[in-house]
Amino acid sequence: MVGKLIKHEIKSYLRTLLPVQAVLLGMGILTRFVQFFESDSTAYGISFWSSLILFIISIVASLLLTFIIGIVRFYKNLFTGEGYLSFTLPVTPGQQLFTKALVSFLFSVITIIVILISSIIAMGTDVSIEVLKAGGYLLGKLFEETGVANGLFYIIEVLLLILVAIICGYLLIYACISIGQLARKNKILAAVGVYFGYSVVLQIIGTIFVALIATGVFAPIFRIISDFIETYPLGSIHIGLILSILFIAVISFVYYLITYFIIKKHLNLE
Amino acid sequence: MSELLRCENLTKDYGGFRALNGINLSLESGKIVGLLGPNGSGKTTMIKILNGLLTPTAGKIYINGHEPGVETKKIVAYLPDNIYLGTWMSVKQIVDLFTDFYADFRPDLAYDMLGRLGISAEVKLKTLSKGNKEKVCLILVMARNALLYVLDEPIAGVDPATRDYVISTIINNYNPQASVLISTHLISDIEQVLDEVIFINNGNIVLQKTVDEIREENGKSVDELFREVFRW
Repeated sequence: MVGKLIKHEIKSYLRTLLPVQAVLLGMGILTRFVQFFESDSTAYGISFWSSLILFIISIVASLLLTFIIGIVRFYKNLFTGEGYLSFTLPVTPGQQLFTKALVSFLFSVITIIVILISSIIAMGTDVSIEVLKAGGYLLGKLFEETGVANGLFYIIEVLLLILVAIICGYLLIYACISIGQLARKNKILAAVGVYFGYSVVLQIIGTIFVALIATGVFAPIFRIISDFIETYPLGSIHIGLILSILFIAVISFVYYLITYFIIKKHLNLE
Repeated sequence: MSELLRCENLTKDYGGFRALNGINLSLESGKIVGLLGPNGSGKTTMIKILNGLLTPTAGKIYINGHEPGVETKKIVAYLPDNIYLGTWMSVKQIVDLFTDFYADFRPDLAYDMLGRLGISAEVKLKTLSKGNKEKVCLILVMARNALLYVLDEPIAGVDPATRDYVISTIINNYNPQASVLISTHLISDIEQVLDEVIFINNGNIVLQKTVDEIREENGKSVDELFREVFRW
């Protein structure tokens, strides 16, 4: 059943996201095309810069749209009229939630890949080769200084960190929307309120933490940590990255559980 | 005949407002049952709990022995009181979706009924008239081989010709082992197809009788009795 859910979810995404990807690729091609007429004329300068700016705008827009479409789809398909169908299909709330999170995540990754491809197209072959060369050089440097195994694992860890951060972003908003549904009315407003309230709480915790650091209570712990970093510089980076991944994964799981609990035990479609 | 639906002390509060007040109810299979009551009496609330869209404040509801969940959703065909399908979908996409998820869905029957109404499978739902949208929703529900059909206000807000179409579609497509629960306040239109009625008011079951009992004991039609019970 999850397979079928994913299939129908992807279909509904394609309808809205394919045009976004197409525009992005189109802008990349346009930016490249303009460069064929390279000259010192003002007309060329204007066309090149405007196509480049449009391309950059479409990159930002595609990222934003992918995120917004994922959120809107979650809200509309589960908590508005469409929820009548979604929640009367013979699937569990957990399967619905899993599908929404997975497909949103999948399309975020696809958007990032399309951005990379269209950037390579836009920059033109010569520039692309230079960029790739520079990338290769940096990679070589990294491997040289840290060893191939360390370097490879750093790259994998950073990629993983980005991926869990994307999932975490969606699950946070899902949780806010779901908590907002518990309100008697103005459910969307309540969801926005939950989001900002949560941000404020995080800010306060952060401020308290910084204030505590300033008082020097953590100094002994920091000394141990900095000693460790100095003794094992390469290992410390691994530990830092892996701890970050685990931390975000645990938080994501908490958001997931909140959303799951609400749609499982407190669903009230009106 | 076995028990298909049971409510035990089913209660639902909306904030301070009690929409269902500890309902106890039992329905057998093989019946067409009218859930009758004025607007705001608790009909839709009860139906939504039955379909797992609302969580009861207290009490239990069992469909074929199960609380609302995957097992009950397999056997309940539900027609909500509003258009609930993504209007960007084509009729074919919706039929495909039902075929994928409901093992008891009969796409050939659905296409047959759609064809007789002259509704093309390729057309997008949003381009259909309100009446045709409602007919599509009804066809999807009645093309299932469900054990319990739950129809929330299927004839409200449609013209008399469509009303006849809806009623004949219900009678012609439900199998005799199944039960149909129809909520409405338009009793005279539906009275001739009902086996049993439940009167609900202010979240309480006021009366549950067969139509024959009402005619024999009260010497009245359901519509007449309803007007008497709910006089204000």
